[in-house]
Amino acid sequence: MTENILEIQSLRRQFGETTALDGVSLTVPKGGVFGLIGGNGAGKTTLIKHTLGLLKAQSGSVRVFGLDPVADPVGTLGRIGYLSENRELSDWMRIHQIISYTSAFYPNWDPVYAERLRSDFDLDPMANIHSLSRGQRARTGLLLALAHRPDFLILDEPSSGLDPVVRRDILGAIIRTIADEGRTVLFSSHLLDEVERVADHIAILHQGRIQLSSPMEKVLLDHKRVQYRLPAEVDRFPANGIWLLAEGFGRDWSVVTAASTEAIHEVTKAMGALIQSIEPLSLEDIFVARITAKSSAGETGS
Amino acid sequence: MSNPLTVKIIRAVMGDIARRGWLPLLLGFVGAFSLPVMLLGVFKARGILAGNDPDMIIIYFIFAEIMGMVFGSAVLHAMGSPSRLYSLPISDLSIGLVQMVPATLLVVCQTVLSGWILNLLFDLPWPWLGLALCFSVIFATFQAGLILFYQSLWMVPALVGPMILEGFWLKSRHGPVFAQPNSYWETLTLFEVLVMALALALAYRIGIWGINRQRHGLQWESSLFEYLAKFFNALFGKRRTALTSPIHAQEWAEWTKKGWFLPIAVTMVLFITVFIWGCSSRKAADLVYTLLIQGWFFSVLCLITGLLLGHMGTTDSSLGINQFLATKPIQTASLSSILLKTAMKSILLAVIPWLFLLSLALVFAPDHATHHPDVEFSWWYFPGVILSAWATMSATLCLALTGRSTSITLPLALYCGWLIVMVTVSNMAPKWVSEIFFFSVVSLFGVALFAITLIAWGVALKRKVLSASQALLAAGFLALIMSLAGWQYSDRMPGGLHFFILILGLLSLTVFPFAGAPIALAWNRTR
Repeated sequence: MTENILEIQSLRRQFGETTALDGVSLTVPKGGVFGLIGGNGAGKTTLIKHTLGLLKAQSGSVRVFGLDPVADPVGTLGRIGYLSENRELSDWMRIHQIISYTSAFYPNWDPVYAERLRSDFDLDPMANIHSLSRGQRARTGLLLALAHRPDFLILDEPSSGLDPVVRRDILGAIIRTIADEGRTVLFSSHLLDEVERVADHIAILHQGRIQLSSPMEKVLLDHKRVQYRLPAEVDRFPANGIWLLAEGFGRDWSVVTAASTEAIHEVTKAMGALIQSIEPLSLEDIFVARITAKSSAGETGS
Repeated sequence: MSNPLTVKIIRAVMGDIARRGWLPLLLGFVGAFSLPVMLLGVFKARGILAGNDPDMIIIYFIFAEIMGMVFGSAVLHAMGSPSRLYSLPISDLSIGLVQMVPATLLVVCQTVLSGWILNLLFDLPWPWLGLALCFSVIFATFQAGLILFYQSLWMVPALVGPMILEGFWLKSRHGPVFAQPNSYWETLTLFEVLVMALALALAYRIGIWGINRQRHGLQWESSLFEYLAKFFNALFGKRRTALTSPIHAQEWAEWTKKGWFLPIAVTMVLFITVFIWGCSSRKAADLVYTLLIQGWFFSVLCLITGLLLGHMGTTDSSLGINQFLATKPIQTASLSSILLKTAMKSILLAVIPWLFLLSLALVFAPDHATHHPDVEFSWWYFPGVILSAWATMSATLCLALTGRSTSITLPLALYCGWLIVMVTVSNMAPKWVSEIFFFSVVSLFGVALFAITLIAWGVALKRKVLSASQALLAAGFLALIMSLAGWQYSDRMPGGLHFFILILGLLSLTVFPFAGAPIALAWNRTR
């Protein structure tokens, strides 16, 4: 049986009238990189804040390493490395001070590894945090998140607004972390090419609900784009319950589906249509299809 | 300025200032004269308010300064940073004027209006026009220094130097510079108006110059300060602090970031006190008297320090705990006890230089200190000063720890509302009604404070943030200080039982934070 690092059951969160999370259930298995993707305002950060114990579940439950992060911050946060999009750090400290300060909180802090990261990231130990560039801040945050070799690394939109060199550092850090056996990374981003490169399991969060949670390989394998030629011109692609998104006009339509090849052929036969090609999809295409399908489900009849 | 686009932008900026700034300005306005109203209300209730009494000049002078400082802070907050306007297609001159002229006008209007209200409420003959004009000049100078030397090492001398100069000039309008104020600034001469107009024009010019430098990223040459900064960096900066545990690390962080503020602030106040005393009276008895008064005002400084210590946000305006700290593996109760420990250390270290100076002054004027008609001075004075400082600081610390602005604005609004009602009742209702009302409110306030403390302890015990033995210890301590207060309290204090209830309520605040701080911080950390 696979051990789960994170278990979320029917989590619901409202901010005033806005429902940020609407009965989310999610499990993150131990080991590997779990990509959490979703558009702006999908609820990714809210979900992560619950994982860190910064938000208390209004209903439902959150367990990290089998513990409640609100009741036991030391037991959970001590094994988590966290880097947020905001990259909040103590601005009044210097680099060497923030390293020394942070190290005191983690018994597993590896000073040699910390020094190596500092040197690799080209961070001046005497530099003031408030004077660091955005990229340097991200690197400092990454150093602090990694140097205690956390069991669970949580990166909330870590690459947002950063140049390709820093983004490469972040991806490198993820790869290094999972190179240590049994460690887990939860990686939230809307830079889907990055997620596709490193994640081996993804969950799509949209309007506070999990739309899909599956191994990356399966997601890429299941989703495909089918180019159809219909027997007659239509204004709307015929509803048949298997497609997520249909684009085109007249007789030529491009359809995104997660159905099996058998189901596709069956439906095609029933429509009297001709399949011109079946192509694999990128994660970005799948994401767009999933989100668009859900947003316009009423209109498309999906 | 005649460019239609510029006029449009200026209008938009003014609208923005009005929208963003109305609340701080309103709070600043009410807050600025709440202390004068409260004290004058007490004087009036005791029948010792006489507008023509020469001693009232000192009170008038102090009140005016406090009002100026409080409202000035609100104006600074309302105006915001000029940097937000740098990318707009308007000239440096327009930015400077938009930033400084409304602020000047606001200061003048507030001083005149508040003064007029005070005069009306308490039937006082205090003149305000000269003060209003002078405050506006001082404020403009402060603003100009702030703009010109923002984030520069020269900022502190640039702010303090001109303000001392202008402060002396203001003082000279109320009698000799190095003596107690002995006359009101009733008539404005042409010379005085010209001097202030010139100073104001100079401040505007400097402010516009500062905007030009800031807008184009021109750095100040600060070789002396740079040298000193490098010297101290070399001396202390490279010192690696060996932080051995989360508690140790957090204690170091709290102290290094905020804890030192109070001792340094008190030392600076004492330094200025001795300087002014050395320039004016030079009598030991006067110094003793001033230091004893300052002892009670220590709580005011602690009130601000409490808000500072409890502020856990990333920026000045964000009160919520920053994620960097919130995600550290440390129990909330440990974090709050570190903050309380820092507060306690801060108070004790701040008291040392004051006690030293007071002891020194007492050596030269012992009789005067113990028999001064205006100052209660007995054995309980020192624990009273420390306990009131602790109660004030820890109470505001708990309010700030909640990480919600309403926790601070709501008590402030209630306090202001209470003052307004109190003043209205004392001026409009018959004396016996106003007395019953005033003393009932005082008693209720004491009871409310006691009830809040009990509730906080109950919640903390239920959540197991505190142990039963800690609760017993706190209860024992509270019982002890309440008994001592009861023993010392006699009918020499006005208000009798009502004030005694208030004092008991205030004393309960000394143990409130041990339960209140972890609850407030938990509410902030996990939302």
